[in-house]
Amino acid sequence: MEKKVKLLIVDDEIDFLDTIALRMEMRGFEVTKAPDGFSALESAEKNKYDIVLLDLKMPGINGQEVLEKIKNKNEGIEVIILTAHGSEEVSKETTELGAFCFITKPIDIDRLVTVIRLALESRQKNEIIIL
Amino acid sequence: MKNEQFASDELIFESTISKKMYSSLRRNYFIRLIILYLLPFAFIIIYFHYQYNDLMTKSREMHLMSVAENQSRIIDIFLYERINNILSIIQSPDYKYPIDKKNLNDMLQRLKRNSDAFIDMGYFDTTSIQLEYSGPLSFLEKKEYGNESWFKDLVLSSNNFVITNIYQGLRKTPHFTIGVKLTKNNKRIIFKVSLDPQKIYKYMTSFEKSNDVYILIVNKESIYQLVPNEISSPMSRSPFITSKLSGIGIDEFKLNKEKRTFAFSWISGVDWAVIVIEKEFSIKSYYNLKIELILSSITILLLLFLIIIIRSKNIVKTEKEKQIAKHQLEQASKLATVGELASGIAHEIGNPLNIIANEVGIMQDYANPKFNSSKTLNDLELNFKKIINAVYRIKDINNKLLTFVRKNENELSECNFNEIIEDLVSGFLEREMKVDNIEIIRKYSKNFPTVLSDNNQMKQVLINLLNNAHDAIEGSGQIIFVTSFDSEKIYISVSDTGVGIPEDKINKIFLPFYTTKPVGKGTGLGLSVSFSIIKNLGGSIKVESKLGKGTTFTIEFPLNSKI
Ligand SMILES: Nc1ncnc2c1ncn2[C@@H]1O[C@H](COP(=O)(O)OP(=O)(O)O)[C@@H](O)[C@H]1O
Repeated sequence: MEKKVKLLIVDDEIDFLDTIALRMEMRGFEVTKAPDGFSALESAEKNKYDIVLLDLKMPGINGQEVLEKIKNKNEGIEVIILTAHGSEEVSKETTELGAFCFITKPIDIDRLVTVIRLALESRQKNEIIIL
Repeated sequence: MKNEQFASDELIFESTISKKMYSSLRRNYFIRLIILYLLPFAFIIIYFHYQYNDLMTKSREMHLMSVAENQSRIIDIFLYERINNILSIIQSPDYKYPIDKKNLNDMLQRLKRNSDAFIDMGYFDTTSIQLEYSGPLSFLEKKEYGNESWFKDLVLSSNNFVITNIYQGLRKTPHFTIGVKLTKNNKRIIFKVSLDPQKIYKYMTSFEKSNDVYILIVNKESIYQLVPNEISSPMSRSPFITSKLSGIGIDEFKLNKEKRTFAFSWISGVDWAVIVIEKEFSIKSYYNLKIELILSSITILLLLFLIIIIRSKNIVKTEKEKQIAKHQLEQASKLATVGELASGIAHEIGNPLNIIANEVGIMQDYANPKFNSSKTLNDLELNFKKIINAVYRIKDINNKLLTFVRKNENELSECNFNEIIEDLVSGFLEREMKVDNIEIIRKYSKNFPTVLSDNNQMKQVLINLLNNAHDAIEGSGQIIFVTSFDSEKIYISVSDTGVGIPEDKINKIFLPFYTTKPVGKGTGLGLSVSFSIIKNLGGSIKVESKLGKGTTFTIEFPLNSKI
């Protein structure tokens, strides 16, 4: 059996977090939930994730900070931003910080899966190029 | 977090402009007005008083002095004339020296024709014995005058006449004497002529028209020579001390320990000074005038003071109204900012939409045979509930938003707010409140006037205020409705004994989407909608709150509302 892709989902809206996690599990991902930026960073330190789905607006440590730290500490990790409303500014800022791309809520789950696949592919390509 | 975009603009409502601030504002205005108007005016008045006093005293002194000068001249002329009378008669070629009694009688007759002041006349040759006498007091004949000082003076003097002080002399009635010497046939002869001072007094006062002064004459020993009976009698001591060297001037004397002014003017041929003093009534009238002036100035100052008090109050009042009007205007323009409203709406509606999308998404998954889900419809109850809640939430927001749009669709009718409130709170709602330990108190104004308003919209406003009050009360408490009115406005207030609103938050509560209530409970639209409804109906709403004590919202409508 193919090795499961490891997902970390970070969102302070618990209802959303639960449903999206459930739906991703149904689609064969191995999912870890983090309700805030702090536990996300903690969790990313202990485990090796392939993809992080990250909300930007959160109390405490906000999404931008989490993005920056995760990208610095974890080589080869891809971060996809989930946000209530996108704007050009946010998109520019987050891509500069190394986000793969961002998806606006409400989320089209098929689109999300496609984006994850693209992210994984680009990561593999990168690895090949580097090696 | 969701209202950060509104928080940056500070709006100040009346309650945050505290009473303290207004009283200091009033004090400032008060002080400014006092400095601007009262002080300069007071200075002017005081300066004017000083100047006036000065002028008054000077003019009074001038008056006294001019009377004194005139009078001294009159007496001067009078005496000069009398001496001339005497000289011309005794030197007349009609008489051959040495003269006899008949001659002397004749001379006196002639003198008396010149002036009725002449009393008698005596004649001396080289001796000091009165050789001949003509007049009413025949016992004076052959009297020795060698010891009389005037006689000695005249004999030794280089002048050919002397005028005595007034004295009683041998005859024991006040009189004075003019002594004249001349040389006839190489012999010195002397004539002594007595005069009645009362006649002089009559003569001189007949020239004086001002009856506000007393005119007196003193000699250089300060002894009264001529004096009105009301003041003193001749030959008694006077309080007027002046020196002949000064000629004419003003000085002070003491009358019953009071300082008074007198004018003096010395008469040149004789050691007499004319003294002029003010009569009591004229001093009083000056005094009264002064008091009157001071009193009227004080009255004016007090009036000004009163005006300043009223004005500073009014200024603050209009300032207050201006502030309120300004903030309401700001508030209205805030509400009208489409961008802000839109962003708020997007945010507020976005959340429930997300929830719906989520729930529908997972149900889609359950329904998808690909995932082999074992879920039945019963298992989805929670998901449906979440969806329906989200829909209601959007509907709620939508309803409230519509009131922003429905600006000109007021259904106006004459509304009695006592009835509207009673309608609203009695019955079901009151019982419901009772369950939560909340007592509803109504204080309705009697004869409360009706105003043209929208019954339904105002009911909505009152429900909003009531709900907020309800939410603010923790445990038990009271919600109080009060109606009142004055000549211009009606007032409806809703007070609660709830938690109150922090001062730094009170300027945000009317903003759309500002809420402190948990997600799903508050929309943050209640007050902003209420605000715009009331504004559309021509009224206004304000809030006062004390943290921990409670909050009062007061709605005002003008009585003759023009909507
Ligand atoms: N009577 C009150 N006592 C205390 N706070 C109040 C009161 N009324 C309103 N507020 C505050 O104003 C906020 C805005 O009220 P409102 O516009 O009616 O929206 P909502 O009630 O949906 O929160 C409330 O969340 C609350 O913080």
